[in-house]
Amino acid sequence: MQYFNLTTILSVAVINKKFNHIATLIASGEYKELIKIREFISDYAKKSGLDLKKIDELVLAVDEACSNLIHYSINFDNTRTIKIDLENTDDEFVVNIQDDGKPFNPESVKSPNMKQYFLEFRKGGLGLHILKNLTDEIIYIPSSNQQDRNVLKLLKKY
Amino acid sequence: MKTTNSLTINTQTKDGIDIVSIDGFLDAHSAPDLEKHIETLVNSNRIKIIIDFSALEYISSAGLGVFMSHIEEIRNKNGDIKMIKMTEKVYSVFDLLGFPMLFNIDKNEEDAIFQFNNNIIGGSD
Repeated sequence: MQYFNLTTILSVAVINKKFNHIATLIASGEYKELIKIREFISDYAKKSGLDLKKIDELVLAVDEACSNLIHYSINFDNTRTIKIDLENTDDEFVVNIQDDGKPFNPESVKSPNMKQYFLEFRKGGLGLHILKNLTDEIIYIPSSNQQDRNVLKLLKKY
Repeated sequence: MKTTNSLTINTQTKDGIDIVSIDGFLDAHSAPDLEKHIETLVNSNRIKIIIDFSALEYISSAGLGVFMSHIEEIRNKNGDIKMIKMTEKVYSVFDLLGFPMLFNIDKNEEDAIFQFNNNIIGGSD
């Protein structure tokens, strides 16, 4: 039996889809860039024919992903950047987010039980829950010897 | 009045209730401003708060976090935060995470004031 590590499996999944490049935005690692990022996603998603409700959902998912990266991966270092490539496949609009911070797979975080969350008046930890709820597929490839940036692809079906 | 790049906060006081209107975008960048604003109210024991969302165009989880930060302390002091006039888009974010379990989300000011006057606390579910 042959064993694959997680990265290999995800890379195979990526190769099986053909991603067409649409546009690129480079943002610095600070929260004030979030408005610019949201407008970028929204403008191109509209042009690409995604419907308005799905655009709102995707914009929020990308905001949550980038807020998390800026905080935990880039650690508010505004000399570092987040590169966002917009792509599409035959039936999905894709936001490809790349950073050179610490690798962090959003799929590794369990969604909270909201009833318990409110009972305990907890705070935070909801961004990734939103991210997972509002996208159709998430592909995560941590940086490695072959690529110097972490890649997070958020896919939204047309 | 307080303005940042993306969020404007206005407060009006009526019969001991503070109505805080938020206009613009409530995200990780602007959330600390609203958090400080509410903290100032709570520190001066102004704990009956209505948030008017009618001019809020956008909210992310950082914005939701602002309300989680203070609600326990406010309710322990017999106050509350009630929310009114959300657009469908903003409400859908609260709803996605089940926030109507914890908060009164009302159509208008009158409903929220009625709940304060009749000591109705908590969500609709």
